[in-house]
Amino acid sequence: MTTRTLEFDIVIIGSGAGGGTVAKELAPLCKKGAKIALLEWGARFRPEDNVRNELEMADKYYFESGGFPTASQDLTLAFARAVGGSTTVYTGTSLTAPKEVFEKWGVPGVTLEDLKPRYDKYIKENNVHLAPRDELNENNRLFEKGCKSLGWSVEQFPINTKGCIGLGTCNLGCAVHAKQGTAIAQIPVAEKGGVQVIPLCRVDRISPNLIEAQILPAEFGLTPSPLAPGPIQFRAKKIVVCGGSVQSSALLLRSFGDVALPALGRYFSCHPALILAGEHPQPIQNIQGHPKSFFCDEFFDSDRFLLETCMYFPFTLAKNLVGYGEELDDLMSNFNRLQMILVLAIDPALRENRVALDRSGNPIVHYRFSEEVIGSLLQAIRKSAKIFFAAGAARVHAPAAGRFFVYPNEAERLDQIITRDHFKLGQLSIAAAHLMGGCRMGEDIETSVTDSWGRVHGMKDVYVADSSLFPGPSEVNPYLTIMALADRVAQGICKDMGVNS
Amino acid sequence: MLETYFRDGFLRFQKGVIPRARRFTPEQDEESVRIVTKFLQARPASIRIKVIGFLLLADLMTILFLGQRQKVIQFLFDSSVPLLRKGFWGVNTLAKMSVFCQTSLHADLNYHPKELLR
Ligand SMILES: Cc1cc2nc3c(=O)[nH]c(=O)nc-3n(C[C@H](O)[C@H](O)[C@H](O)COP(=O)(O)OP(=O)(O)OC[C@H]3O[C@@H](n4cnc5c(N)ncnc54)[C@H](O)[C@@H]3O)c2cc1C
Repeated sequence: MTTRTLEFDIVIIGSGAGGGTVAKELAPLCKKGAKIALLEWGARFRPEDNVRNELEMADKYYFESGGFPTASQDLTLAFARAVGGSTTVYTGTSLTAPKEVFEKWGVPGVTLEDLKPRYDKYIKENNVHLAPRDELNENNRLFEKGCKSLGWSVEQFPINTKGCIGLGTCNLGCAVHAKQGTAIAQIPVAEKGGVQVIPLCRVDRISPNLIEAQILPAEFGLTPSPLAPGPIQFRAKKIVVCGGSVQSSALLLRSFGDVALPALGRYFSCHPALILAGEHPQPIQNIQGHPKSFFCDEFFDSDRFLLETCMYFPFTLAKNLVGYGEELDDLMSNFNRLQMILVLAIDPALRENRVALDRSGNPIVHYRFSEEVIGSLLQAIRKSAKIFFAAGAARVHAPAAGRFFVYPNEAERLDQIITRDHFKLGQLSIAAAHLMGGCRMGEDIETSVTDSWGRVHGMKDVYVADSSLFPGPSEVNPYLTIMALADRVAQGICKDMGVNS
Repeated sequence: MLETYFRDGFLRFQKGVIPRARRFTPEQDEESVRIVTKFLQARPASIRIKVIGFLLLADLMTILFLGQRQKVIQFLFDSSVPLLRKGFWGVNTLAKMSVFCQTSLHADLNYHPKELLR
């Protein structure tokens, strides 16, 4: 049987923050006669596909149900597979990176001046705004109260919702499509402009102008692809890889290896995160409303971490509580009294932290926690405990305390209670959802994979436009920066094709 | 045989780490087993083998520790050997999944998500 072959001018692989943006920005070329396809491994989700059940939605949306383990099995990674990519399950907090981040990246042309107008475009397109104060729930307000009473800086997150009804289950995908991810804000515009979206199309390998893929059968009752399941090839003049940090690196490794591109897969970073919980003596309004309204960057310079409000679901919380037994069970019984904080460590992009391939060609992520990152996490646990107590919590579950609970009368001794000795990798649940690097931008082929316009070194027609481009961490929630970079890559493609963007 | 062992070994472990599971009805036990079996079936055989291996280890150690399962659990949880800690974390996570993913327990947990009427 011969494999079907479809011809396009431009094929974009992956439809998340990067791919969805590139598709929208290149769509005007369709009017000039260009044929553009957006291939996506995952399915298209309709609001009614979202049953808001934790396990079911994790299986439907996420790679490895949201718990993709690293090789050393002390960290899990969360990234999604859907039309819209991880923007379907993100929380929608919308921050721009400060100019210092781009100075650290040191990529010529990739400056705040270059990215600012691009940021502004998506801030507008995605309806980024501050939620009115009367919509902020108690879980969030208690965080603000705790920070303020300690004299620590606390700021409200801009978010990108439209028509949010406060279901609080953002990370299971939005059941009313209120978050303005690429599936809602950019991809429909791209389709209207003529881009052909092909869901359930997994790309296995590329060569400079050929793409080998599989159309997958629909699972979980999701809408099937318009194309019949089975192998398929695409010919394209330009290929834009936007599979996300892990999958883009893996696809390029499978396709080209790392001999000509020694930095491929490397310099991976991910803002390792911990979920902490404090229990209040009385019920609080916590699970309804947008889960993430505030952040505290008081310790960003001194200890390299950020604290954010968050609110998760029973299994996700239980998984993140360190340990087992009566105390865990007891805390779980008081869900309506829980306040939660998400700790994000700002980890450096180290060459040895990398995406590689296993024997079957699937991605495997090697990540080693440096002592600095462990130090950041420890300090973040201590400071979070202080916030919980300052907000009125009666007890706090603090990982690395050597016991399950810490109490208010111990608030002044947290340094002695939460210690390095108790911080045991493999015992704590550390997860990450800000996956960055692997195909980093730069000038030197030894330390980067693409040039400053996302074009892969040594290749005329292959580009990358997603979080894998980050030379180092974004140091803030990354999606707007990914979109801004993808916009820049789209502009570069137009220039390379000799058309005005 | 392995399946029967998995079922019983898993429930023994689950009830050792999550006290509320000791009060489960037979239906809730079955639901626990269904949840983890479905999860593991979608994973490579090597993972299932590791889980069964770990459950076997926990059972054998319990015999060696003269039936003191809680001591074994604490030993594995806090082991100085990273491999044992990670194994414990994995199976403990499955136990948590088998319990806290049961939506019928939400009321017990005081977890009342906002209803969405379509
Ligand atoms: C739970 C969660 C909450 C988050 N919250 C926030 C937040 O509030 N604010 C923020 O700024 N960021 C947040 N993020 C991070 C943000 O969502 C991601 O950084 C961003 O979406 C990454 O964009 P991307 O384009 O690199 O990859 P993705 O958005 O992950 O998209 C990649 C897409 O490519 C597809 N793909 C991969 N490989 C292939 C292939 N071989 N063939 C075909 N298709 C392929 C995948 O299926 C996927 O759909 C969150 C992430 C998660 C998981």
